[in-house]
Amino acid sequence: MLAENPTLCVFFETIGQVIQDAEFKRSTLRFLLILFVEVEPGNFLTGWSAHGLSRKYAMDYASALDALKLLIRKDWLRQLDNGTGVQRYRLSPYLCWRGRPWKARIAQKNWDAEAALARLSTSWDNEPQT
Amino acid sequence: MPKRVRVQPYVQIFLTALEQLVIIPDRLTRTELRLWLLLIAHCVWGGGIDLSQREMSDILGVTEAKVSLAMRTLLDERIVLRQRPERGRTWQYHLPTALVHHGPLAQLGWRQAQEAALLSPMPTSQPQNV
Repeated sequence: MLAENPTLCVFFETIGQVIQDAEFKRSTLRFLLILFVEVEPGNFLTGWSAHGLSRKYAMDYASALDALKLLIRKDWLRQLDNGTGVQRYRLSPYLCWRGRPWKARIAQKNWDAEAALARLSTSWDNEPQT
Repeated sequence: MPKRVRVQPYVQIFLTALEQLVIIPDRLTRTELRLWLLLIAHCVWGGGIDLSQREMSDILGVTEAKVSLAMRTLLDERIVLRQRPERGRTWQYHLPTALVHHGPLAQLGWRQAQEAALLSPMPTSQPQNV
C-alpha cells in the first residue's frame, strides 16, 4: 500500500515551530506543502524552480520566490552547490523526512555537521583560529 | 542527562492525497492551514485529536470563534473528520487516514474501512444530549 502511495514523515516538534512562526504567510505555508509533495527520497529537491512550481500549482511567482527565500533564511531549506551549475535543494530533515523514519536521525546529524562546516569556512579567513 | 530518542515522534502524510485535497483546491486561508498543521502536530496514536478548541486558539493566538470557523472549513473540505461522542457533547475530531496516518501500518486497512462509513453524508446538527 505504501509503495503505491508515497508518504512523508513530518515531525511534531518542528511543525509546531512552523505554526508559531509569524513570518509564515499563507503562501509560505502552501509553498512548504508543495515542497512536501515534490521532495524526493533523502529530502532532495531536484529539477525544479520557484518559477516552475508557481506555474504548476497556479501560484503567484513573487509569493513563491518570497517563500523560497524565507525557507532558506530559516534553514528549513538549503541550496546545495555541487559545482555543476545544476540547482539542487534539500529540505531540513528536522522538519520532515522522505524515506525510512529511523534514517532521519543520521540525516539530522549530517545536517548539523554541514552547517558547522559552512560556519567554519566563512570564518576561516576572518577570525583568529585557536 | 536528556533522554536519547532514536526517532522523534512523527506522522506520515500521504503525498498524493495531500496534493489532491489540500494543495490543488487552494481554498484554505492562513488560519485554516495553521490549524490543520496544528492538528497534525497534536494528533495522537491512531489519528485522533486530543485538543480542545480553546487550547487550539491559545496555541494559534486567534479567537475561539476563528478556530471554530476554520474547523468548520476543514470539516467541509474533508481533511478533518469528526464523530459523535459516546458520552457528552464534545465532538471527537480525527484526521483522515487517507491523508495522515499515525500508528501501525497494520491498522491502516481497517481504519480506512471504518472511515469510509464515516464519510457518508455528514450531520450538520449539534449532537443531542443523552
